[in-house]
Amino acid sequence: MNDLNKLLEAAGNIDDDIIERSLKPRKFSRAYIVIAIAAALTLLMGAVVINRQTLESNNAQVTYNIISQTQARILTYEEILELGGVHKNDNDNPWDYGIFQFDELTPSELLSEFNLPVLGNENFTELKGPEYFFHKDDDITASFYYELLDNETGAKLMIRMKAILDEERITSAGILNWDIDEILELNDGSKAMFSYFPADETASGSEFNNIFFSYEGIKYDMTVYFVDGDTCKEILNRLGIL
Amino acid sequence: MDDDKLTELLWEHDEKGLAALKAKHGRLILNICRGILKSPQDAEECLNDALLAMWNSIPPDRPENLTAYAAKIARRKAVDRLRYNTAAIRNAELLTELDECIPSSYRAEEKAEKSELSAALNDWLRKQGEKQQRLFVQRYFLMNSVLKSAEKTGMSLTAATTALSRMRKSLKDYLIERGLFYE
Repeated sequence: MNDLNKLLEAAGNIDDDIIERSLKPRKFSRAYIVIAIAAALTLLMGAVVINRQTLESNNAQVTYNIISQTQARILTYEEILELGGVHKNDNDNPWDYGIFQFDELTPSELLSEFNLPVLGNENFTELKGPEYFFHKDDDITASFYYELLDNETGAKLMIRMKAILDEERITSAGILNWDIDEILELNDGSKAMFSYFPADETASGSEFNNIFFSYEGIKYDMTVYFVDGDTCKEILNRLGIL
Repeated sequence: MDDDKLTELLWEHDEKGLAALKAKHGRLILNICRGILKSPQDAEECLNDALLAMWNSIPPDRPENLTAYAAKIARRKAVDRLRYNTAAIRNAELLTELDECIPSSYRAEEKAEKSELSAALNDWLRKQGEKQQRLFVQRYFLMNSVLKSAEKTGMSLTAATTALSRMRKSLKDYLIERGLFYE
């Protein structure tokens, strides 16, 4: 028997508990089931990496791998109101554009209406009141803001998310005007720009962390207050992306 | 019927146990065989071979985890059938992938015994996250395609492909570190 077959054969002796755990169906909330079905359809339709946008800072750059979210559904102004969206801006024409907050919905409940994924797992609590950045004529991007609470530390994750819907018209990823501390390797092969700001270096007097990245094809920027850099990385690990 | 009760029936060679085994684990066994073999007829025959193997092996075996036991026997029977049929396409893909884990340069000395390699593989696998374990099992135990493995793990195809590549590199480094292979 050659070496190659030995390793494949060794895989047949994986420990029972690992096998059993891996054979069990994944646990889903209703929102995740919707997302999973949408994602499967996307795979069948042949979702592709449509662009590699570069995000630069003063001292580094990372490349975002963006996947067109062709499964996404964009809500109309009327549907936003039906979901309980409350207009937060000063403009008088919310039917054209505005930030809408959904006080009665969790991030999963809101994003499932759009057929888009949400970060999070049983280690985190979703906070109600996510926001959607509505623009009547924008069929390229879907931007959201939502918050998660890390159950272990109590730290709040403030998450801005931008899903790209149209593969033909892509905006740039942008430029950060500060030095980042390090580049993190995420478990989907992406990289993240990570910066920790100690309390004595911030205008607010509070320490916080900024993380800019794409994950499974969607752009995120995240701020985590009141924890140091090492604790923040532990949080990202619990989030399941690091 | 829970697996403990089912194991007792098989242990006593009670024929109700065989019927219950097929009812409870037949689908799992068949799905594993179908995933590995191309022919539905081969998969059906493997199902029967696996059930018979379990009937004949309990006792003396008294598995603590009947689900995992059934899965392993199903896989073994299906791989044996695959070798016999020389249906090599998927097998070749998997072997090519796992080739990355074994240093390709000339090995002056080869120490990998089956049990040592299995132990090392399990030790390494336990160091991986649960998602990575699931992906590895889907791809290399169940021998599913990368796409199906990704779906079963809740990952995108890109993420799964990248994760598998990283795991193979990590496994290779680990096997070298354990002294099972030399570069």
